[in-house]
Amino acid sequence: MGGWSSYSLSDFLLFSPQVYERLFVLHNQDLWPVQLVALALAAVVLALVIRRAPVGTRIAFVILGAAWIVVAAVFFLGRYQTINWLGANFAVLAAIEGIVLLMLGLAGRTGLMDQQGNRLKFAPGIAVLASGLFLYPLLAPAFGFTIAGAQVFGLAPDPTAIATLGAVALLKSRLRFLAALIPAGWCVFSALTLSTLGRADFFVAPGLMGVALVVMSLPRTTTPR
Amino acid sequence: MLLKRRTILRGFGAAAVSGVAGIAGLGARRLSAATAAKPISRPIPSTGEAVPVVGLGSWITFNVGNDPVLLDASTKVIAAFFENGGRLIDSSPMYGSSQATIGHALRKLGDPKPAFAADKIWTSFAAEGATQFDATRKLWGLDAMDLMQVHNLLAWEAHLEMLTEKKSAGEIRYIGITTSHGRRHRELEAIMAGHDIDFVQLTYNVLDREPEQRLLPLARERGIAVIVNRPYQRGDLIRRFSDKPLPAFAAEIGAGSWPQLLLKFIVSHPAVTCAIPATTRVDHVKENLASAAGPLPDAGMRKRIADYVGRL
Repeated sequence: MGGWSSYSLSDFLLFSPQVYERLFVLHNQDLWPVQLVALALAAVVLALVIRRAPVGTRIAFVILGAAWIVVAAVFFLGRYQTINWLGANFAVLAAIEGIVLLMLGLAGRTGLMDQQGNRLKFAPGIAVLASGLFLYPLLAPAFGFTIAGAQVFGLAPDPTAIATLGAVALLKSRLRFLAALIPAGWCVFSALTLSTLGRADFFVAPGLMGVALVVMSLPRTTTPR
Repeated sequence: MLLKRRTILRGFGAAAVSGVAGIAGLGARRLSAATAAKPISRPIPSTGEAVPVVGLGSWITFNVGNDPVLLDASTKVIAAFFENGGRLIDSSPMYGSSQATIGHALRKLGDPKPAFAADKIWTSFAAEGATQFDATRKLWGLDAMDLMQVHNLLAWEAHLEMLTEKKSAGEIRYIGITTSHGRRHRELEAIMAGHDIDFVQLTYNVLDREPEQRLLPLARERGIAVIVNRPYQRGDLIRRFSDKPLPAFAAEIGAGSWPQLLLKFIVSHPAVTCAIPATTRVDHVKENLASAAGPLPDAGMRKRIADYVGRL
């Protein structure tokens, strides 16, 4: 016995699978019907990013930034903090991510890669974005959990992080790497948490994150106009 | 611990195969009788006050946030703990909302008299210790704590000094220090040898037996009460042995399940004052307390248990 080798991931886990699952159930119960507003905003984000109009993408990033600030205040401080004293620290990080995305949107640094020369990058980026926005709430029933505990974009961190990674992966600006740091970090943390809890869906966030990071890392092709 | 730990009487039945047909029924009666009896108590060496040898831990199990359903479930566990003769409940600021959950239960139960409130100071900053102590009292809803321990030796010199002052002021009855997973035993030994503490908390179970070499004898020599954490290695021991037959000799000490046998092994060590298994289930808390109500293994039986487990 003794030493760092004696620690395992489970030694850092503060709560049980049941508590974590019910955390989202209670979150949804308390917020209903805000989920409908969140899903409507998700549809707006997806439509604006697909259309790629400069003003539209700016609005999309402002919505993403606002989503992170809601997650910081309502989820991390209001909910997660009750079972993990790291909740307040995560709230700060989520708020920082929100500010970064808001600044990108407000400053107009949200130009997307050219779709024409980057089809093979654009499509997976959109797929990751759409997964965060619309696939995530369906994961709960798909993996045997109640739909009442579904994780919704703008209200829970995992779908918000995935949607953000999908969107920033499409940016032309190198600031995309900065904007991806916190969501990617959360995806890793979430995967470790879910894996330690023994949940089968632990791979979803890091899998989608991996796709987004590949898209993000590939060089952008500029199409001559 | 949630998983089929009490497939029990299968094991008990196996123990009985060498004996009489229908012994499983006898096992059930024994278990039932043991449940009704009060657990054995041991004196805290520094005062002679008796505490039952089985307490209640709260790591993970009581960290339920503000979930009303799980708060009620935790309250039922704590109620069953007191109803079946338990006293010592242990927590820490590290355990999420566990302190608040215990405080919630104590309020709901009308501040049960037998409660022995054990908690910890968990901060690396000396200046935060007293503030954390006040927060802990508030969460438990108590003016004074029975036992405050320095968690995992964090800033232990400063915290022990603060706790000693609080003890002198009557805000704490006992002070102690904790470690777990067998970490920092040398340092723990030095503190036990050189400081005036009432309790030490450490990990000890049928597989983690290093404390038998120096720490447990030192605790006896110095008159320090011993709280044992991770008695089931957070359920791993139960999962590990659950599909193995319970030894036939378990029946001789009234152990009807692996958890009972494992717990009896721990609390039968003469230096151990109290073991603190954590659980979310009423039936488990009853069974844990029942472990301490019947006969405990003597030195010879302890060796048989250790040898048997070692062969598995």
